[in-house]
Amino acid sequence: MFKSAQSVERLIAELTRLPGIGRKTAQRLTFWILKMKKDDAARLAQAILDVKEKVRRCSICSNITETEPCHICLDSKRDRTTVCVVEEANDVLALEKSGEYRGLYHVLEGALSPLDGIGPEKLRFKELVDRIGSGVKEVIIATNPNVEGEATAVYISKLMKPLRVKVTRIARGLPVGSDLEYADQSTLSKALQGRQEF
Amino acid sequence: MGSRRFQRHSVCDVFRVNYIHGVNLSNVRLNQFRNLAAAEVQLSPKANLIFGSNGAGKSNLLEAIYYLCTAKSFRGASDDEMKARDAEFFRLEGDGKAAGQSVRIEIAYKPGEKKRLKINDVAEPRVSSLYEQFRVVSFGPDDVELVYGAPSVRRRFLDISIAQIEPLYISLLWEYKKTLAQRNALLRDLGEAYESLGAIEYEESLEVWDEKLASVGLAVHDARRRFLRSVSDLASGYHQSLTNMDGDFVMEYSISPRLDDYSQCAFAEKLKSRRRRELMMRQSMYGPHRDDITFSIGRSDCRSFASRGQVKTATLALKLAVVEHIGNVCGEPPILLLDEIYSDFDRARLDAVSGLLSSMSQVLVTTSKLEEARDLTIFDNILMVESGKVALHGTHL
Ligand SMILES: [Zn+2]
Repeated sequence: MFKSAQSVERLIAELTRLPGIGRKTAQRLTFWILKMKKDDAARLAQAILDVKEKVRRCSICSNITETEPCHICLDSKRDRTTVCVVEEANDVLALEKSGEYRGLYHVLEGALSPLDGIGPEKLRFKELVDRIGSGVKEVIIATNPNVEGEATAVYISKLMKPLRVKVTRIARGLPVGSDLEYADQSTLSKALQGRQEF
Repeated sequence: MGSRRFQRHSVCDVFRVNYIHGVNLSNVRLNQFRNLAAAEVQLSPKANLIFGSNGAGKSNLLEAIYYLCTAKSFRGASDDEMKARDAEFFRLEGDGKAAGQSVRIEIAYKPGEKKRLKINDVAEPRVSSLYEQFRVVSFGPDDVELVYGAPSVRRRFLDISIAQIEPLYISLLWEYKKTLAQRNALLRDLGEAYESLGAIEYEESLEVWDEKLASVGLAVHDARRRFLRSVSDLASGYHQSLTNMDGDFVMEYSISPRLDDYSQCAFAEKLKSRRRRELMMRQSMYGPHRDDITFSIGRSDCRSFASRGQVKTATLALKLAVVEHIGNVCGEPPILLLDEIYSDFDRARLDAVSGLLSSMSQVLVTTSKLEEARDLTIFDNILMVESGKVALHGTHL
């Protein structure tokens, strides 16, 4: 195989570690970066460093944020009686884009998956239970419509039972095997409107 | 359903229904599939006879056609086994008609890569779409394994047959498999802790997977039960016609777990009551992955009491029943593949089968001895396979 300069090889190797990027794509990106103006390349590098340095998780909902708490938890116009439970912070991004939802979020940081060694103790269930006391009336479960997300939803509904809070599941309008992240916005609005009591 | 139950079928009146369309493959191209390095085969929409000596590749041609319809081998072989030795990949293409529409299928397999499927020139990531095109039923020497083989052989038969009628069944099975894998992983972890501590931690997280296994498992049970209910009456009808004897051929679905009432609640309760056993075994011991079918003739279990000949006839009756059931549900009978049928049956049975063939949709029959094939007049396309090459022999003998 053709061996290029060492620093080029290193960038290709780093890019290959990103999800969904194979060696071919990594090579294409590397050669694209090589052709970039130095300023543009510096901006890209700085943007990567910034997210690592400035971005943290909100102490209330665990959404990614630069402020503490996050702008959603801070927003007094949002409905504080409703909490939408999602697996990952990028699910918050997808639901926010739909513009339909005005309540708060709770990011679990994953879904139950014994195969990956993820049990209830590894997810933010305890924090969710703690939040229910402060005036929350409805918990909307928006975990992914796959086996792990469904099991997680069942777990949450069991957890919420003694707390006398309304629990709804986002309608299964999303195609099976698809994640929230990939659902388009109109599908998401419909899903939110059609949520059903668990 | 009710009136059908007691209806006896004579072999000839079964296919009197006029199907609107005939599903068939008209042209099949093979590349590096088993011993067929490169072949293009023209097929008749009616009755095709394929002859050639043993090992020439007749069954491989049928297997390729089956693969074009299901992306699976009818012998349960793996993709790697079907790839020609020393070849990098295998590739199959087929043109035909299904539901009155022209359909083109292309499937390629390269070790270490995902199977590539194209339907009408469009890449298709889901196998379930393939199952909506050509339906197929095969019968051959290996099918005695349905009686003699392991339960997994019978579950595979159930699953492939049902998937052809209800393509969504494939996603259901997939969901079940994932749930089972997750639950088994949890039982492994908890089982270890149970052995050392004598107590279960996080039992509530196991209950979540109990419920999921029960809800998906019940849906699989339902589909299998529905299928067997329709097919078992048809099968005993065919068995009656093929044998002219009264020993009733009966198929019984043995469901795991056995329950008095098949509800999600009862299923989950059962799992809870067997918690210790599952924790000790460290795997799921109940569910559709443990289902089975038992076959009996005249109340005696086929596996222990029937002769090999009786088993062959019974499994043929079963396959013919599946053909009719698919025809009833989908509006057109499937392609029927009969591998080496002539050497296995006596004259009376073959006459009964020949009677059926002329009224079927597309049929492909293999034989190693032309003189064994009866009623050669029904075939309107005869192919010869010799050492991995396929040639047209003619439309008549
Ligand atoms: Zn927040």
